[in-house]
Amino acid sequence: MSAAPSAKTQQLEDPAVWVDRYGDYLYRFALSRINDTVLAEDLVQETFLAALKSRANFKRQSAAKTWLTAILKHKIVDCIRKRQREKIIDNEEALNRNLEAYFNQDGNWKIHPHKWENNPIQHYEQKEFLDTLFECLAVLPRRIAQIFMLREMEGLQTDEICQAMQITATNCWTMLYRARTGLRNCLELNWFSRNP
Amino acid sequence: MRMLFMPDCKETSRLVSESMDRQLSFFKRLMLWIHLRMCKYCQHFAQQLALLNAISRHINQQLESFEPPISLSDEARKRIQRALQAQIKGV
Repeated sequence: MSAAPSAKTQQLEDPAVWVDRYGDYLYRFALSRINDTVLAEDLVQETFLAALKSRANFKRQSAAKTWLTAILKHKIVDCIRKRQREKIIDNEEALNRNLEAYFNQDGNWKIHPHKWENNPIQHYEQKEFLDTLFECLAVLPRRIAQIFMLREMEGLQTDEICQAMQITATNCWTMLYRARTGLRNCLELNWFSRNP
Repeated sequence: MRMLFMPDCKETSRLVSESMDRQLSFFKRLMLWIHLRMCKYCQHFAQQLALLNAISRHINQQLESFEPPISLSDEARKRIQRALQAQIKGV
């Protein structure tokens, strides 16, 4: 992202220095989502190992830290998924039925969306909000959660996502629609109705 | 009462999302705009998705600012280092 000349010529450093350079940051990130030091350490280790395997996919434009964090986020969501296995909407059809239930036959809202506090700072300053957001991501079908993270957290363009996930653009828009709507529904239920 | 061609709420919610990923046709944008002007619930929905995006984009910065700084224990650091080295040699 950075326009500094050093970023342009950025190489992925020798993996031997990864732990010293990014270990603490990744650990903090993991710990902020998973309140368990042992699990957080494991996630950091898994992230480095996964990164080592997929080093070829590293794009020089992005900082190594951003790239490693993106890998870690997916690991975190997978980890939360395991924890709340019973709540998971495990296939995309089930999610779709879920979303359909918000509309009546005429296509009008059956369950009305409420007005939310619109200042993002009000929400992400609260750690519990981010916990809820990650939990809501974790109950979505895996691919749907992944696509949302790539698009909105990593800021990828839809054509990049289509390529990475080998899907058509139309499919991509539909999946993003389901992801956003699914998250919205989950947050309305689990956060905004409790923290008006 | 619905105008001809006017999208319903379900279709509108889809258009709201799609407009975040690509440029909609002029006609669709117009229909979306009109529907949003008339429908409070879809307005809420659109604001919610926008908020969700704003929050998601800021998650990285938000997490950088955690205080106090926490670090990996020396033991964990060494263990991870060893695992990584073992893998590097294996590659």
